[in-house]
Amino acid sequence: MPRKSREKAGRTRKEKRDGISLKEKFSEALELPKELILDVPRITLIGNRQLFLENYKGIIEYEDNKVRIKTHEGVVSLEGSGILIKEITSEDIMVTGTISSIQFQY
Amino acid sequence: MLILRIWNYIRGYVIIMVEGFFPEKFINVCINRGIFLWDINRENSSTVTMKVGVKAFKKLIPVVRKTRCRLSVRAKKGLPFLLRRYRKRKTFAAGCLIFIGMVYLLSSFIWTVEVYGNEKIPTQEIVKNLSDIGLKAGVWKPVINTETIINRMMIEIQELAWISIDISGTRAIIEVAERVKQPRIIEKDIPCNIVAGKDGIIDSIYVKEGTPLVDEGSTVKKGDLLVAGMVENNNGVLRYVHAMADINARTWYEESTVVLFSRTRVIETNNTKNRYSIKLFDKVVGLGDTQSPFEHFNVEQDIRYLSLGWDVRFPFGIVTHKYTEKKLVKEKVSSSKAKEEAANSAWEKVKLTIPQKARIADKKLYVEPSAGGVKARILVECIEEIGIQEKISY
Repeated sequence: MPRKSREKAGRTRKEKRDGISLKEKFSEALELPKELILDVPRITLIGNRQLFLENYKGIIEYEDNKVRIKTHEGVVSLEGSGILIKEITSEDIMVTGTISSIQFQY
Repeated sequence: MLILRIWNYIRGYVIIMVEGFFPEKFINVCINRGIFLWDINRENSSTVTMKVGVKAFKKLIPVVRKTRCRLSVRAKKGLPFLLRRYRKRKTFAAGCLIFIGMVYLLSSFIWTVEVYGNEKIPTQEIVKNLSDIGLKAGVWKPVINTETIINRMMIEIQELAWISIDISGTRAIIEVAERVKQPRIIEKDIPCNIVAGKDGIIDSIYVKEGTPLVDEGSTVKKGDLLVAGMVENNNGVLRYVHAMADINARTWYEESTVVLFSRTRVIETNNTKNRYSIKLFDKVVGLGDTQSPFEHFNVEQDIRYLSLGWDVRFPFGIVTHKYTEKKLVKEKVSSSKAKEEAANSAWEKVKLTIPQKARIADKKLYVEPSAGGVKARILVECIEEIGIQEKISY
């Protein structure tokens, strides 16, 4: 398990060095949706009450005041109160509650 | 997401409680296996509640084993569970079915026929003709062929210019347009006479074609020949022509009104009382006392049908008769006011009888006392065209 994850991490680093910047330029030039080209999460926030996250990998932690979601861009960590996972599918996740902070952790 | 919620309710879902050290892992595994979860709620440090569909619930067992959680069912919600509870109540189910069947059956008949757009043709006549042809309350809808009914109606009632039948729900909405009667015009090459359309005294006569038989100042009666469509030429030979003439005559219109000095006036009071009855098809069954509670009254009828939405109306309803009490009040009218009222009312009456094209030349008002009041007589002198062309019958 640890070896596998290291391999994966290595690949992402490599992509970061040369591949992604090209992809980013490409998507910018053609005005393509970046979350599809770059494989990064897309987050939609409605006020502080609802968060919609597309393109995620899994839930790492879920408490009623904190959710950590693994994505391709590291971990998205939400803090707040009364947090509820309203809906969850393999592509997107909808979280409701009172959200006070969103943080990216690498 | 109301639709989703309704869908979930129809499919049925289970509220489950998952206990374990890593409920997150349970959620992730579920998602990976394509088990749809919603409303995931952290209860405390070790338990999470969530909702899952009935079918997906069976797939949870291996997940529970793998993630070493403990699973318990909190509640079962939705239509399948509700139906299961009522499964043994056969009469109830039969009742539901019969109800739906009745609604379907009753809504496949026509229950009301509404006619719009007629001004001169009485609604009863149209309704009667329709029912003779086969469109009336109580007819099964699939039997109705609007095309043939429209054709038959057009033949049956001559005054119709256009008719449309729209069957919406249990209502048949008939819209008609009436034929505007065309003035009788005689073609220019057909010989004709001109006769008087009204009594009067000829004021002016100007003949373009034909032989005048009357002069200015002649008194004519309705139907009198004014201009003959026959011309004698120099050789004494008679020739038929299309008579044309402008003939203006003085005509008189008279109306009178009597206004009494003391009269009883009817005043509506605020006293109202409703009487209810039930309407079943064409029968009206009174509920309790159906007699009028007052001696003098106005009555308004209001029918409320049992209906589904706007269009599906069943032949059952509640009829409300609203009785409003009237009081008869004796009133004295002063002589000058009576005169004025009588004159006004006579003028209003006479105005209706004067044709629009007539020019009013003179107006005379005679007020005379009559038994207990005054009588106003109004005499209007008009100048109007009275000639009517009439075909010569050989």
